[in-house]
Amino acid sequence: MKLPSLSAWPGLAQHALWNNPILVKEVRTRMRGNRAFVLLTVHLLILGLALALIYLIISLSQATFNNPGDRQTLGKLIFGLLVWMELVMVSFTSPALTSGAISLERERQTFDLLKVTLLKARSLALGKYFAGLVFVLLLLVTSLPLFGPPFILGGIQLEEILIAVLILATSAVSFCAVGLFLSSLFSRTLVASVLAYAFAILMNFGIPIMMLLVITVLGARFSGLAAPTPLWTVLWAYLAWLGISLTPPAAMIGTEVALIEGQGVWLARLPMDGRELVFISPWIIYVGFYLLLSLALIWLSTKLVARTER
Amino acid sequence: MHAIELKDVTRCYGARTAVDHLSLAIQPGEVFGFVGPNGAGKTSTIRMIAGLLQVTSGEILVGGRSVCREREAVLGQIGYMPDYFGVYPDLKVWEYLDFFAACYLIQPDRRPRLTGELLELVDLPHRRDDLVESLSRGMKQRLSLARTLLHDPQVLLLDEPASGLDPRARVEIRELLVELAHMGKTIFFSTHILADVAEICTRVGIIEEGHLVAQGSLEELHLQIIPARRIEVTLLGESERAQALLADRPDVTSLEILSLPAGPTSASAALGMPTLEVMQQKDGGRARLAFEFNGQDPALSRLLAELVAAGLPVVGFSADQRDLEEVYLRATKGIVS
Repeated sequence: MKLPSLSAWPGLAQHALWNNPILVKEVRTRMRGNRAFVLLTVHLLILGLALALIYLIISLSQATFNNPGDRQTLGKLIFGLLVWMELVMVSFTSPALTSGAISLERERQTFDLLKVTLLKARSLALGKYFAGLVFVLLLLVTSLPLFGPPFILGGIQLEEILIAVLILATSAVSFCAVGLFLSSLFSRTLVASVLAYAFAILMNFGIPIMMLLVITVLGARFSGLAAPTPLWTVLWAYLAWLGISLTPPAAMIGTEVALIEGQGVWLARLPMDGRELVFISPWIIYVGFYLLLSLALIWLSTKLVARTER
Repeated sequence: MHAIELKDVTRCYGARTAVDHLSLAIQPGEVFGFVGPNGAGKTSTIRMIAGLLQVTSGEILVGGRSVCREREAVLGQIGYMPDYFGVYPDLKVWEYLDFFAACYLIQPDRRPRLTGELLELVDLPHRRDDLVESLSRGMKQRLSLARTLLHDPQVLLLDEPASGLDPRARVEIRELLVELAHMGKTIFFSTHILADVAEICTRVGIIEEGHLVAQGSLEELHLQIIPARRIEVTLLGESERAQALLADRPDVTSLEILSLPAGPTSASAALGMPTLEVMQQKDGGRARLAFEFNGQDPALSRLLAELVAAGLPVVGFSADQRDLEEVYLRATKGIVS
């Protein structure tokens, strides 16, 4: 038998994401059988049930929704709950899908087999990354129709939904990047998973709690003391704004509050000590920072994957 | 140009030296058996050639290209099969090959035919749609071998390809390697199974504690490590004259009478050789003598000519087969680093 000789593909097609063998294999195996179907169904059932439950409770407590204000409040409540549940889903599904991306290959002893192929480390890392991200985005996209009821009830603008989806998608992008990086850094999936989940918990719960604690402690400590200088006040205000903008739930709430208060989509103006401070809307800082962080983590993951055992 | 060349290669793991100043050159088309005890440095050497492990010092060239500096070019030339089978449990046999074909950047329209041909080569076309996980170990090894051939590499690096296989599966792998050798591939493989080495290798390297203790063809190794070889001569009589002639030769170190046409004899006493042992057997009127000869092939040829020229009725003259096991045991000390 004569084996055919190797010939390279045309450059662009070779590097196109849809031709990435890792991505194709991962998606093919992930969608095989009923696992993906069950996961999607369970995800939508949980969200749908939560939505139905809150609607039922409020409709039982109030005879009618003739008052437009009540309807809008209900719409905002359901919207907030949905976004929060989606954020929790994104935060905990992303590490599950990516924290074993590279380390599992090492554990299954297939990493060496991949490394001796002509596949570039970049293709390997990107294939693994997008295989995880695509599934998280699929969960997100399939749940978009659930935003319909709060939108119909009123009180929610289209831009609020778009910003919420953008923040959720950015969270998926960054949590998947964190998972991939940890999986490339550590040879054991268990270590990578624990750290990826720890990061998700820290970002969603840890930092907001710490911020509350800091504000409470500082407030108590400095009460009765002389007021800080205007420069310190401004500095603290911007630092606090940055803290809010870099924490997923705080960024969402901050953006929502700014929109409710009639601030623009892009900028927020807050009066402070007789002057007006201008802030970039939290969602912009959040999206910008986490997209850059994700790019850096994917680049580092590529370097770690390309590394030869020393 | 050598297919594989190792120049003074050393590999250390902390304070432990796994491969110590190893130099080796494999010619294109050679089947090189790399033999040594566990922990001798075989796997480290193969992984370094495959570019999966950095050398501590020295240089490795494959097809004249540096593994360290021209890694991508080298990867196109080598097919690597580790001593374990990496499994993707959810993939079918054809998908497994198709996936790795894609990783070797083989165009999608060429893959179905290529995977089909390779499955034929390794005798697995009937398991095409089965999950890889459901294959026996022997089948997985054959599939693994098919994977190494996807990009038609010239050099195959096989780490213990027959390890843990039953005798039939071992024979099948061996036959495959012979077929690949006939296709002109250079095969560098490590093994514990000396019978495989003796069967298919054109050259052998014995490694212990990271040192190459011997290398060469089986014949060369035998001469290098066990210089004396056992020769059997069968005569139609005149055995005593033959014994006397052989006893006078400086390259004949011991003589043994395996059988004589007549009754028992004390040939050892007659020849005065300390290791002489007489085994009296009826053998159709023929005399069979065995002696240890420590000369080279031309000297052995001359000895046979002398026996015939002396008018001795020689009807059989044979050297024993080189026994790699004996060579291996003498070359190694059983030390594991």
